Formats: sequence, structure tokens, C-alpha cells
Amino acid sequence: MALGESMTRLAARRLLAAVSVGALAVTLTAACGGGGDAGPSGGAKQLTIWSSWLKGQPGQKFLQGVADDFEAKTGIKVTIEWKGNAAAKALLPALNGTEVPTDIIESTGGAITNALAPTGGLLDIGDVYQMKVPGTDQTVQQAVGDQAMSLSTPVDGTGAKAGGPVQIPYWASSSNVVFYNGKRFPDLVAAPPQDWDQFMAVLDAQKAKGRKPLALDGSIQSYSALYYTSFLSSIMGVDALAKASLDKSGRTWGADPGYLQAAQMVEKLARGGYFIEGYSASKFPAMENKWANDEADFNVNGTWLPGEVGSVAAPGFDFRAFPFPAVKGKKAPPLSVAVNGLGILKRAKNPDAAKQFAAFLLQRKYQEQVSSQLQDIPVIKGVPAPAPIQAVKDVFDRGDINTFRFPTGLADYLTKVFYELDDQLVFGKISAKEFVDKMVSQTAAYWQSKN
Amino acid sequence: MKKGVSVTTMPAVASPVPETASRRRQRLRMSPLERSRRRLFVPFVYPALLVYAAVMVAPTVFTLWISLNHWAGAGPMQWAGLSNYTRMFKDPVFRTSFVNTFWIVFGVGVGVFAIAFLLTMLLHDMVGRKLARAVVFFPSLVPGIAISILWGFLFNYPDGLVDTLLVKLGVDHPPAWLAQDNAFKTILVGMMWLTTGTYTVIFMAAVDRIPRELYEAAELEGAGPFARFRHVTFPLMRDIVSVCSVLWCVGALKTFEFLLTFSAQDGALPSPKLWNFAMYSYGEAFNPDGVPDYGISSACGVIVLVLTGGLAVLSRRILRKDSVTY
Amino acid sequence: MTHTVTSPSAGRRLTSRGWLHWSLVPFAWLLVAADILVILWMILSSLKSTRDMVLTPWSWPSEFLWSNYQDAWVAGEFGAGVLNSLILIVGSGVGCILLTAPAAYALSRFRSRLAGAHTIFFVIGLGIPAQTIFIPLYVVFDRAGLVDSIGGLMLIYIGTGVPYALFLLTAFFRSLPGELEEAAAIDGAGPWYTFWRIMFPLARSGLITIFVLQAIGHWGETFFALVMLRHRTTLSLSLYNFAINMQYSGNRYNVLFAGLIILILPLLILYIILGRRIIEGIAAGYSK
Repeated sequence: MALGESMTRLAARRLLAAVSVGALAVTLTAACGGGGDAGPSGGAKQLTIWSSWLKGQPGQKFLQGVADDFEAKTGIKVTIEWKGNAAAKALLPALNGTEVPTDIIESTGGAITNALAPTGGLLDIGDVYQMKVPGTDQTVQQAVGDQAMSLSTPVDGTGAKAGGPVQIPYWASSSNVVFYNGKRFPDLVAAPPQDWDQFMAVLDAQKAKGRKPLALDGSIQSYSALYYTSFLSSIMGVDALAKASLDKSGRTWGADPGYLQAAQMVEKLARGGYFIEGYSASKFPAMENKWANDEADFNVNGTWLPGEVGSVAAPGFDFRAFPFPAVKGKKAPPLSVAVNGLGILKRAKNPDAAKQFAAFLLQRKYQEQVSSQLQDIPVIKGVPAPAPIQAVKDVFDRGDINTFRFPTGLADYLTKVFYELDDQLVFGKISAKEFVDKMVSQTAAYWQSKN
Repeated sequence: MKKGVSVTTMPAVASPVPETASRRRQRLRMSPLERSRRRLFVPFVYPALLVYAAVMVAPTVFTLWISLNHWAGAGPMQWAGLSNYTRMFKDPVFRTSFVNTFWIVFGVGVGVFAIAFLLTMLLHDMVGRKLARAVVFFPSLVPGIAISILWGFLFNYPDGLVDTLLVKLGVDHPPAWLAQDNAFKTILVGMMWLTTGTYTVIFMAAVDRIPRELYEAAELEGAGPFARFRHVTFPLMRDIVSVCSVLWCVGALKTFEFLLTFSAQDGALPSPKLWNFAMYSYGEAFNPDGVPDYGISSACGVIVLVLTGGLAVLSRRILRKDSVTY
Repeated sequence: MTHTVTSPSAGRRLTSRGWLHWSLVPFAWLLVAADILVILWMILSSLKSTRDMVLTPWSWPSEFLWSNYQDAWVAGEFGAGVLNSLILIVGSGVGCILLTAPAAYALSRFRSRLAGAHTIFFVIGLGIPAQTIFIPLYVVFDRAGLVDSIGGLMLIYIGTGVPYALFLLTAFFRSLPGELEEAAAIDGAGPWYTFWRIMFPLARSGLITIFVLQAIGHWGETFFALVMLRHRTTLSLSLYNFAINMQYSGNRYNVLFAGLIILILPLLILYIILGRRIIEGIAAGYSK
């Protein structure tokens, strides 16, 4: 899953950011204290986790609850450090240390597969996928599904899998989702648009009433890019962006009309006045706040949105969502999904306890809590998601998710070339034709600079 | 700058302290006190030097080494030779960063110093100057995160405070301050706003130290305001201004937190249009979607360091000149 | 620029000011007013409801929610980091000064041929960015057992503070009169005695300045704190996490500002109480 992953992760990262810093009261155990144990994990009765949740956050309460149950069941003492958003950033230098400070890193999938895995510091945990989820006959792999497993496996610079999976995911979030207020569009709740043309008819009807129907926080480049990438993957398939990006001559951008067509669809929205006033010159979260107060009708965003704007939203706002519609006559763009969970460190002192915990976490009752407490998508099939995003969960369970992996090295390309030009397209500064032409020349220039 | 000293007449860099007449005199005059003090040079200087070397210099040497490798921050290194540098120099974003760095160091610098000077002059003996002085220093106490939130509320288009006021004042099309093409300029203005206070406080305090008799004497000799500024105020503030300008330049070279908090949300990077060298170095290591590239990040850090070194040598030249005493 | 400082005698003042001066004065006060507006806005925002704050950021609060402060205090868990931050600020400030002052003194007043090169060597440190040295620093500190220790972090703050302090203090010592040293030497005092008993106290205002400027810097430092600490925390780390949480889970800017004000308040009070001293020190420190 390609670009989708990067965007979702970004947003998931925001969601993950949370309350206050972890308490000091946590006692020192495996990380620093237990230096004396000879032999890795031999009957160790302790386990350390660095978590991206922060104290007071729903995710923290959830994970602490699981840890307490685990401790009661197994007698293994679990110590969790609530490190917040920057958990992976803080862990990276520690990988060079004499010993690693934790057994498990709990974070967003991106931090685990992209930032930590390339250092070689994470354990290939393919064997955990073969363990049974406690109380069931299912293996972990059967429970989370092949797709989530695939998304938990790092890739190399060409997008090919590099080794086995390094993460056990327990929750997911999706980014190319269209949110709206169900109270104002009851028809859409009953029958969401089947393709982009149907949706466009709704947008045009709103525009005819003098509304600017689409909200977009243009200050977040990955949000703006949701339009182009979703159109493109509907028209040409999920690997189209990577294919064009990796063409060192840049010519792919101009050779296939699909790239232009997707750009034209964005151009129509940008220059046709569909976006909310100020979307190109305001700071996040100004526009999503306006949307939550019905100043715009639709917001292409991620499954975390209700939690983010809930306290600001107009009274009685009924959060509803449907997946990004297909371009007419094409397949719907698969859901852009980030799966998030646990990675185990190669030099963990208690790898067996860590593996046991990972399987323990995937029990159905905890998956239900992901829905009720974290308010996001549980990875296991059939476990319902919160009501506003159940439509998304249905698609997730059907398996229509984007498992194409964007080559890791291309993040730099996206930052330096794609997002910049995409912004100009979305803001109506350049036409679709100019966009494609510039992609050709700047892609070539980018790769030339890498030689 | 010292009169008549041009680059060509400067001695080679090998001797950072040029031999001057006054210096030669000093050596000839060397007293027993001087000699005993010289023996204590090491005990005085080296404790600080050792800590500094351990905490900053040694890691920097390692940084030099990293800059010659591909590295994800841990795990195996892959020898890259000078390719990190050549790739960086060819990167269009690096060139943008160069231009932006230049604008921050010199553009904002000139603005900050000019405004601080002006404020110093204007506020000097006005009613409420103490209040004013306390207030203009305030922004440097406010955490960046507060300023960055304020930023949105101030400059959002079209209903931020600034544009709302402009519309009330009869401006039909208020500027979109945060639009792609304007964002960097708005950031420059913000930097000026944040730092001007600090330098105003410094300059005001410096002017306070200038004896009033000097002005009275100048006035008696019929010097007008401009002449008094030129012949009294400026010469006596020159030292402070030069110390401050070195600190500003070096600080501005490595500033990037400002760009980060003002333009992106947590964990993300701002648009490369807004990068400077330090941001470039940070961005290569902390791209939220990519594999960290500490090789290029370090290479850019080395560039910042070399520029600082140049400034440091230059500053010695400027500061070494005999100071004006009063 | 028309105007310079004049004597305090009121009679002469007006004569020295032209129209340009008077046209620029409103500009100066506009800047001051803008800063006051920011302070006021932060305070008012901290008392609004979340919706009020986001939807009508510039209006008077429809109700005053003092409970925001309670929420911020609870969610922020600032208490945990307060002591560490105080230890760090005081320890690194004092440590840095005790270490740097003799060096700055020697470099500026001992007529050593090495002084120039040494000074440049120090000053180059001003340009070393934290993000390029944190990994090697971590590796070394880890081996030395200094990770997750307030002492270790303090050492980093001291070391990274040396170039700045040294740069300012050399300028400062150079400005002190030399007669006292000579007098002390005639009385038979050695350089150590002369320095600690005579020159160091004389430099007091400059030293206070260094201390304050570094305190302001370290009050907000998060990068090294994040990387070097594990179980422990500092005030700035608490604030960082608190702010991010308030922003991204529910846009609770009102509570965020309540938290910010709780944290700025001590600085503000310190600044108001010590204001004159600090300003004098800053001036003295920067001038030669």
C-alpha cells in the first residue's frame, strides 16, 4: 500500500499524539535494572514496552488494561513506558547502545517498518504469526489476515519485501475516506454514491445552493494529495504512482493518459470552486473545524477525524463516512490503510514474553475495545468498528485494501517533488497539463540529482 | 570594520590572529605577571575545553564520519565516500535551502537590527519605556507551540485577525499570508517579530550606559540629532552590535524549530520551499515516511559547521579591533 | 533616523526631535500593543470553551471556564518534571558558568598566542546542530552509564552551553578595567586568587545574564531530553506531549493555553521581579 500508507501514518501519528508524559512512578525493570540475567529470556518473568500512547489517552487505558490482564494470567510483570508520538525517535539512538531499553515497541506501522526496521534492530516475528491466539484455534496470521501481515513487513528501495514481518498489528486507520454530517445528508446514509460522478452530482447540487462543498486543510500536504492519488489508483491501479516516480527519465508521467486524467479531475475541483474558501492559505485545523460546523459539506480525511473534531463540532453532528468513490467505469480505489501495533527488538531481553504478549493482545475482547475505546478500526475480521466508520470497516473486512508497498526511499521524492506539484494543482495554481509536464521534468531532475 | 583592511591585505588564515603593532607592543611589555599567567593558561582553559570537546567536538568528528556513509541511524553503515555531498549539492531543494538560509541570516538579521535600533531610539526617554521594554521581550518567553497556534488564528485567510482588520479598513482583497508563495515571507516577518524584542532590550540597555554628558557636549557643539547619532551613539554601540550580529548569524544558521512548528503539524515536515540548511539536515533524518538518511543529514550539518567556522574567524577579525571605551 | 538620546532635561528634548520621530513613535507603540494583545489573547483563550475558542477566537469569552486550568494541571502532569527541570536549569547554569568563566578570562586577558585559535575553536561550537550529534552522543553516554540520568543530561546542557557562554564572557572580561588585576599582582596575589576573588565577582552582571539566557533556553529544550531520558521527564517534555495531545485529540486549544500560562507564569514573574537586573546584565554581557 503505497502512498496511502504514508498519509495514513502521518495522521495516525497525530492521533497517537496524546496526553501527558508518562509517569515517573513506573518502576525500573527489564530495561535497565535486570542487567544480571544471563541467557536471553530464560524464564524471565518480566516484560518492558515502549508505547506511543501517552498517559490519559484512550489507547493508553486500553493497553494498560491488556497488560494488567496479561500480568494476572501469566505472572509476567509488564512495565510500560508511555513515550508518546516520539517513541520511535527516542528508541533509534538506543539501538546503538550497549543494551536496548525495551522488549516491545508499540507504535504506528510506519515508524516500525520504515524508521526502525532498516536499522536491523527489529526481530523477524514470522513465528508469532504461527502462534495461536489464546482461547481460539486461530493462528495470529489467520486472525489478522494476510493483508495486515503483508503491511507489517518492511520493504526495500524497490518496494520488494525485505525479510519477514516485524510487526503484530492490533488496530488500523484509513485515510481516503469521505466524511459528512449524516443529519444533513440522510440520503447518503442510506445509499452512498457508487462512483465519483454520482458524488459529483451531490457536490454540484450543493454548489448550486451557493455552498463550497469540500473542506480541505491544505496546510497538510498529504491531505491535499488524497484526491490525486485516489483518482489515480482508481484509474490506473495502486502501483501507478510508484511506477511513474521510479522512472528516472520522468517520461511515464507524460506517456500514459491516466496520469493526466486524474490530474484533470483534481483541476476541475480546484478551479471549479468546490473547495472551501481559504483552503490553500490557512493553518490546520482551521478548515476541518469549519467543516465540523457545517460550513462545508464533505471532508476527505482519515478514520481518526471524529475524535479529532468531536469537541468542536456543531451540536448533534452525525459523523458518517464512505470510502473514496471509484472513477466512473473503474474499480474503486482500494482503502489506504495503516496497520499499527507491536514490534519486538532483536536484542530484547525477554523475546518469548514479548511474543506471548503480542498473541495475547489479539483476543476478541480486546479487539472490541479497540473499537469502543480507541474509536478506530480493529484489525480482526468481523469485529465491528465504531458506528461512524463501520462502512469503512466493511470494506476493510472485504479485503479491498491497498497492500501495494511504496518503495521506502521514495518518501524523499514525495516530499521534494510530488507533494509540491500536487499542492499547486490542488490550489489551482497550475493546470492538469502543466502538472503532468512538470512532473516529467522535475522527476527527471530529481533522479539526475541522485546520481 | 577596520579602516583600510581589505581581504587582500589580511594575513593568511593560518595565523588567525594577525600580528599588529599593538600586539607587538604587548609582547615587548610582557611582565612577570604575564608570564605566570601564561603558565596557568591550560588550567584555566582546559576544563571547559575538555567538557566542550567531549560533548560537542567528539560527536562532531563522528558526524564527519557518518557524512561519508549511508546510515539509517543504527545498524550497518555503508561507505558512500563523498557521494552524500555531491548528491546534496545537486539537489534543487538544497539550493532552495541555501537561498532561504541566506534570507533568514541576512534578511531577517537586517530587519531585526534595524527595528531594534529604531525602537531603542524611539523608546529611549519616553513615558512607559520600562513597560515597553518588558513587553517587547515577552515573545522570547512564549513557547514556540503557542506562537505557532497563534499564527494560524492571526494569518488564516480570509478570516484571521489580520485579514479581518484589513477588510474593516477597506482592503478589498486581503493577502493570503499562508499561501504557498507567501508562507516564507510571513515566516520571515514572524522571526523578526519574535527576536526583535531581545535585541531591543540589549540595545536599550547599552544606550543607557552611554554617559549623558557626551550628548550634552555634542549638543553644545551644535550637533543635530543625526550627527549625534553618528558620532556618539553609533560608535559607542558598535561593539555590542558586532557581538550581537555574530550571535545572530550563528544562531540563525542553525535555527529550524521555528520553521518546523510554524508550518507543519507534529511529526511532519514543512514544504521544502520553506527549508533552510538546518531544516534540510533535520528533514533528511526525520522524514516521517522514509528511512532516516543520516549520511546526508550529517553532510548538511557539516556544511552548517563550515559556515559557522567562517563566521567565527570573521568575527575574531571584527572583534579584535581596539574597543572604544568611555 | 533623526533622533538620538538626549539629556533628561525636558526643556531640550523637544528641540531634538523632528517630524520623523513623531511619525515613528506610533509604530513603536503598535508593536508593544501587539505583544500585549498576544498576552491578553492567550489569557482570554485559556478561559473559553473549546468551541468558543475555535469558532470565535477574537471575541470576549461568553463564559469564564476556570476549570480549564484544573484540566490542564491534571492532564499535563507538570508536577513530575518540575523538580528535574529546576535541577537541570540551576545545575547546568551554574556548572556552565563555573567552567566557562575561567576559560573566558584566560582567553581574553592572558596574552597568549594560543588564545585566538582556542577562541575560534570554542566559537565554532555555536554552529553544531543538536540533530547531527545526538546519536554519537547517545552512544558515548550509554557506555558511560549516563543515559536516563539527570546528571547526564545536565552534562550535555553544560557542554552545549559552553560556546555561547564563552563567546559572551570573553567579550565581557575584555571590557573590565585592567588596573585591579595589576594592583592585585603588586600585592602579590596569584592569578587564581585574582580571578576568583576580584574578576569573577566583578563580572557578576554578565554571569547572571548568561545564567538567565541559558535558563530560558533550557526551560524549553525537548530534543536532548527526549533522546537521553527514559523513565524521567522534564517540564518541557511534559509540555510538549501535553500540547500535542490537546491539539490532536479534540482541538482543545483552550486547555492548551491554560497549560501554557501555568508554565509561562513562573518565567513571567521571575522576569518582572528580576527584570531590571536581567536587562542590566544582558547589556553588560553584550558590551565590551
